[in-house]
Amino acid sequence: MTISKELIKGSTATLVLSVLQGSDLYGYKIIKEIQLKSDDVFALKEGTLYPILHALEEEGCLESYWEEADNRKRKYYHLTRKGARRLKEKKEEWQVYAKSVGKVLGFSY
Amino acid sequence: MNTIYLSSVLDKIENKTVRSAISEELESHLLDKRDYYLDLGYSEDEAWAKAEEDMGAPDDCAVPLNALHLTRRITPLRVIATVFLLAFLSVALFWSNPFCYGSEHLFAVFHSIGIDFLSFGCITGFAVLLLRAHKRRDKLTAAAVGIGLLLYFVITMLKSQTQSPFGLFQPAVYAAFTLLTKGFDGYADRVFAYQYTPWAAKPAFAVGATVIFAVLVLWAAAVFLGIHLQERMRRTRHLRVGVRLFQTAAGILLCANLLLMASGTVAAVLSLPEKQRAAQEERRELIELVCRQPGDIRAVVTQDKYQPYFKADALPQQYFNADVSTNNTLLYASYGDAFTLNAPNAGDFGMYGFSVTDFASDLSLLNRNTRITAGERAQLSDQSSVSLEDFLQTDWFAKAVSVTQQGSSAGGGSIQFMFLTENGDTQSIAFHPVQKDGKTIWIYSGGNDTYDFGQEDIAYDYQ
Repeated sequence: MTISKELIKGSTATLVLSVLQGSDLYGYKIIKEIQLKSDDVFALKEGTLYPILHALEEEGCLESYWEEADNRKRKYYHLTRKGARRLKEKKEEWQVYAKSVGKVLGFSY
Repeated sequence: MNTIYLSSVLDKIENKTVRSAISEELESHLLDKRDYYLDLGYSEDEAWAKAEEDMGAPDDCAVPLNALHLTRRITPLRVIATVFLLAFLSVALFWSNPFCYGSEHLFAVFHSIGIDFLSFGCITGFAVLLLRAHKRRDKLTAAAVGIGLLLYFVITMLKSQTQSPFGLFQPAVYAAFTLLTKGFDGYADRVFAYQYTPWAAKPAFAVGATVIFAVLVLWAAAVFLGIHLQERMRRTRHLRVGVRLFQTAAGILLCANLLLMASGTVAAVLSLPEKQRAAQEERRELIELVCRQPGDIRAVVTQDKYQPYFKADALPQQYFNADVSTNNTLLYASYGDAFTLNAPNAGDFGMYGFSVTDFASDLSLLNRNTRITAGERAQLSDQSSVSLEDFLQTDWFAKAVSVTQQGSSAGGGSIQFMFLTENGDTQSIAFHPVQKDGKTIWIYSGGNDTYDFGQEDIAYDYQ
């Protein structure tokens, strides 16, 4: 099943923050991780990831550094304390939202 | 590597500084994706085409990235940094004396809570600018802070004859140092009055200020290099660790300093009434001593009250303030008493290993920490019209940093009042003894002079 762009758009930043919770990753790996964890439901256009990453870095939610391996430079992103706080808030927000939508749509919790 | 996708994105990125970093990042992604499709069995051309297709429309990436990295030359941070640095360097050039508690001026020991907090504000200002520069990835601001600090170093070197190293940082260090070593009461004493800053303590807070300067310079360099190298896709992990260390250390030190200064200020303000009462008592004692006792004041002090010779023997060496270059040598015998005494003769200086001075016969009656402000003018005129007794009743007396008897009344000596002006200069007036009805009376005999001190004209007519 594919998810509409509008639904994904609002939550991509939260997904990015979430996959960076455990370890530092670079762009390609972030996409892979999101796909893996969502059982390929979230297949966003990969180029759109970078504006999100750069914006989160600008806001102080992420920090970046370069690492070189196998003759390939990669820019790793690291979740900051501010980013962790933002993620926590977004998760709570999402729980309330999902529960409310579910109630309206008649799902039982 | 130059794919259609990559060149389309890069064409729209106006900021040249970040363009190469974005190129490298996207290129790395495309290579990973190409490898992925090659592993799935696609040909090289097909793998590239699939990788580019997965990236989506170039504009979806390029337009928001370009908007994000459009560099504005004038940002609020840069405006604030410019104003702060200009103000700081102007103070360093033209108004640094009030910050130099331990300067080479003999009487420049003025200490003010306001200056302590201004000094703390200077240090905090630099720290905040570096924090913001790091956060906003603004290497220009980091560089400006570093250059500003180095300019301050040059100014400090040029003014080294009148200023201790990094004097603008010293009062905050001095406040913390005094509170830690002397306690709240010691800090209050130095704010409200009556003690010189011990010269032995000067190196401690001068070194503290130098350490602060060094930390700020290194911090600025680490922030600048961290951003610069990151833009050039170099590894910066060690620099990031360094910046974090500086941030943590500065945060802890500034918080501790602020806490100390705030509690010291509260304690000092609370003790103000008692200090004022003590000042009144001190004033009354001096009036008694000078005006009610006939003859030589030194004899009264020495024999009946303070026994300077015995005290001098017991004093450790650091209580001597020897400044051979200006021929001033004071012996601190007070420990909080109202009076300090110069060593009485040349022979005694030899005993303590100091050079002989010209002040062998002087008797310093009072030293205190005060300063007259600009515009407080008064005129002493009409020779012999002002008696010392009347003078002591005015507010002028409260502003004297020292009162000294030079020579003896029998030998035509004088009692000198020394005042410290706002810019650290000293002015003095002298009263000389005359015999009147069998008593020694001290009168002003300086001629028609105008002095920049005092709050009111006095024209007492002594008969």
